Amino acid sequence: MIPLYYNVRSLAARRLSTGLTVLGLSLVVFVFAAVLMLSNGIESALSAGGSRQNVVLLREGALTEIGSVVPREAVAVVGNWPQVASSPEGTALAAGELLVIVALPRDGDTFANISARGVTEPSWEARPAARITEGRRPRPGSFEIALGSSLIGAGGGAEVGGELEFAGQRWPVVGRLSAGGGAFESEIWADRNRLGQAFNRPGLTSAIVRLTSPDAFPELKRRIEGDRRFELKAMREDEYWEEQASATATFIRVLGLFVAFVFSIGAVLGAMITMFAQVSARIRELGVMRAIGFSRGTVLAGVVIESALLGAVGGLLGSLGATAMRFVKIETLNFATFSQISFGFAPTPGILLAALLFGLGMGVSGGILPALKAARLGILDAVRA
Amino acid sequence: MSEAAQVSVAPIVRLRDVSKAYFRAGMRLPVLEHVDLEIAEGSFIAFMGPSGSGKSTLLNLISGLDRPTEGVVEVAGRDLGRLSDGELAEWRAANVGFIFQLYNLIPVLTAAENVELPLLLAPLNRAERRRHVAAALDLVGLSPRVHHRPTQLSGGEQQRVAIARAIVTDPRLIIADEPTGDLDRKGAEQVLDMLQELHRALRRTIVMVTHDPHAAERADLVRHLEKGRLL
Amino acid sequence: MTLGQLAFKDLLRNPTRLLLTVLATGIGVLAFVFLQTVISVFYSGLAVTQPDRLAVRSKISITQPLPLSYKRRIESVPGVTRITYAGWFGGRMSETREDFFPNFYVDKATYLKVYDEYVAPADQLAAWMADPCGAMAGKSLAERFDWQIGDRVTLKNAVYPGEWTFTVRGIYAGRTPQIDTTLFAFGYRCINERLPEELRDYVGIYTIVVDDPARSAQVAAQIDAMFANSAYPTRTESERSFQMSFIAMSSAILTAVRIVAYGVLLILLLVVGNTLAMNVREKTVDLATLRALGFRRRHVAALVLVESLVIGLAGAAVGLLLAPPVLSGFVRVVSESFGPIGTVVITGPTYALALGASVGVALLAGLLPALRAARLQVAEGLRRIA
Ligand SMILES: Nc1ncnc2c1ncn2[C@@H]1O[C@H](COP(=O)(O)OP(=O)(O)O)[C@@H](O)[C@H]1O
Ligand SMILES: [Mg+2]
Repeated sequence: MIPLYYNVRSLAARRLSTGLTVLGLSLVVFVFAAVLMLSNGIESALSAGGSRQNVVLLREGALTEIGSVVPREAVAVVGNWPQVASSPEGTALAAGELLVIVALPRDGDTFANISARGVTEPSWEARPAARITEGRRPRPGSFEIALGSSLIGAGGGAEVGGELEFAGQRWPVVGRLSAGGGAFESEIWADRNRLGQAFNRPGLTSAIVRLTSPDAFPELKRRIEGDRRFELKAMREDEYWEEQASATATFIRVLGLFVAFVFSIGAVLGAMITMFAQVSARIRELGVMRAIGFSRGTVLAGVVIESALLGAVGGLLGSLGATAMRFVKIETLNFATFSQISFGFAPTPGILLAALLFGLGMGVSGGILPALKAARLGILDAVRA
Repeated sequence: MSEAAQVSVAPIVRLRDVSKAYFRAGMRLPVLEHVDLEIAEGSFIAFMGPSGSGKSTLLNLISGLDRPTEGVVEVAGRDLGRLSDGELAEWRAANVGFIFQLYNLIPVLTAAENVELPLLLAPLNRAERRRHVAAALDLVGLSPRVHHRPTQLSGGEQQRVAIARAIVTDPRLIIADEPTGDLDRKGAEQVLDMLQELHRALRRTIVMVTHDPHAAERADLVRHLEKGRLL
Repeated sequence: MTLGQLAFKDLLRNPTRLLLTVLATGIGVLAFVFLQTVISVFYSGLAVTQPDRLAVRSKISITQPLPLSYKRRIESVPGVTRITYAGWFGGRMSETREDFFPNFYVDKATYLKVYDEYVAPADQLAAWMADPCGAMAGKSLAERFDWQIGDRVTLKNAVYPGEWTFTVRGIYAGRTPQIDTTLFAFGYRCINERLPEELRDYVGIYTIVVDDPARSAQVAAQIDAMFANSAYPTRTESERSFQMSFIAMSSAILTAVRIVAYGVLLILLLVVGNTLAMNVREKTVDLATLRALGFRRRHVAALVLVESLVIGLAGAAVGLLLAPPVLSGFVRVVSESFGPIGTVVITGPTYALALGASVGVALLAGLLPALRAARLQVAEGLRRIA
């Protein structure tokens, strides 16, 4: 076997070429890793909001809360079922909610579409993950609101102690809502009845129900979906939020991976150019090696290893770069709900490993043709060159 | 055509107190020291000397490829030190033909195209260029190989293409740096015959560097260089 | 031979490398065109906006409706010549995303008078007008589900309870290729009559045409002032800024796509730059020889730049030839698993931009190597034994 330092040195001897190629490969790996981290970020941002012990009730056929109507009687009926947990005070943790979209002015002439959730007391009890980290909960029956933490600081009174204006009302901000990075952090929580009044929407869009245990779900689902009066469907809350994320996340993943794939062809060609140059610059050397007895296989492996080395370094740099994107926050429209969500790049060990392998794979594929060329050289061809 | 050459008595090359040094890592490395030299028009001069004695450097100064650190280089009536880079290139194209040890032919061009190269800079049309190229290749006896690429020619043949390229513009001065250094006996003889022929029949001025005494014998004047000094 | 021919012969020193570089450039151009087209899909709504059209919607929220009674009052504002309304119905054939398509109710009597970019045969138009529950389907939508005139389409909807059956009465096309032909539109009367009391007589959005676009800000202000203190305040803006507000919501994604598109160009720069730098290095002796023969600095620099120009042009040709089939393949794959994504066409400006970018990047990549070739010290270059 040809020692590795031989490859390292010959790459170092052509610093410019090597550097440009590694940079190209690392950019491709960067895009690849960043895309995966981003779609993972969206999914974890949205799904972090959901608890496995909670159930979201929607109208049969609705995919989102916005496009759903839930009758009040249904919430009252479900509240009496044994699968539903109660608060220490004994109230059933089943709450009808109203989700509306609010147009809030952003800088300049634009505005953001923000989800505003009309809640009641059990909405809070049912979601222990949704906590007030600054200020206090809005008082029931008032126009006070809690603002999701990713909306805080968005300007125009979006801070604890400030005041927002929408739907012809002033809404004092009394609390900051945190939910472990979940979708609720991009929402406004207000009193359900007040919100309904302001939007002329007396009805409910959905209901949240806390189960006594996650295992109670199938039974509750069977009962509610079998009830002829309501035409409702039940979804686990975590699955509901994953579903909400899937369109945007899939969009980014499909687009990004396609682009990364196309890029990778370009980068493989780039690596190939460099490795062909390496081989022809070293024809003599390779010939001497063959003459002293190294086999064709060894020469072939030597070139592939050298190219793999380029890919590995590219993979490492690219995934490091993508990991640094962890500090970037992104806001965008969620296609499913038409409202703004905020998320980041979420690296996982799996993604990093995939990125490294991707880089390595590009390096190896770029090296194969040049390696075959090198291996096919006759000893005499090479020595004569 | 070589009217000037016949009447002129003034030297075509005149070096006055020329020195050339390289500066590396703050050190002055002298390569040529206080060289005074005159070469009469129409002569065939050979420079000999051990490797590293500054022969190529001297040729580069004479042919306007490089500039001296000190001193004046006058060639064909021009003080090369006063010419800008562009003027120098133009001057070379008109006055100097080059022959290199390793022929320096462009590998992707045919023999004819290689010979045609320097004519691209002259105000000639296609037909005139073709005529000049044919004449030059004929002179070196390579007419049948016009469409061959350098890799399809032997070393001697390549050097003859290079000679055709050097004379195709009809320059006053031909510079040859070890023209036979890479050739076998037969190839070398052919090339030297040709240079001698150019000198005798056409009265070209030829300045040649060599370390082969056989080659030097063909010149009518031999000068020796050692450690940057002209002996 | 001429100087130009010299440059072209010079290209053939390393055909494999040239081919690989052109291919890589072509792939990069392909990716660039693809991303630019994705961006232009987001902006395609803008391409069909008209300066004399204004959108009137709820100030509170895009999901909040406006009373039908506003129609008369808006109509009476001076400067308003035509008005129509429409709304998002959001019905689905099944619960999967795959067979989703955008569907709207419209005011049949006035809709096509305002939106004259949709065209349909006169007899289909008459049949559509005559049947409140008759629907007009876009050409690509009809092709997707293989709908014929007279077919029935049943949609379910959570907000408007029950099943809604529409009959396809017409298939429309667009006046230009950018027009969205994936829409499905039926009469407002068809659903309004069946709605419960509290949902009846509300519509999503009004579109008006003004006689003088220069006065549209004034008209908009007047309309908004009229409803400012009602329970349903309005927000009136040009069709263009209405569309822009949707695009602005996706601005983060668009920015990311743009960054990636320029990332492609950066990778191209590296690949082409690498090739040109290697070429210059490998032919240093030849360049020095040319210089010795009397070629000027600008000649040898031009040799390098011609090479980059050829790579840029050939790469653009490869990429632009590949783009249409790859893009339509991508659209097919995506719409099969994802639902339709509007009408995707590569626009003239995208082609021009890609060509410019390819040539520009290649020339930029050639700049340093060309400079290196021009700066070459002849004596030094000749010493470098090949
Ligand atoms: N660019 C340079 N930098 C430093 N030293 C140089 C350079 N070019 C030539 N030399 C040195 O100058 C001396 C003369 O070189 P050269 O004229 O090529 O010798 P010759 O042709 O007689 O063998 C040598 O010692 C060489 O190493
Ligand atoms: Mg020498």
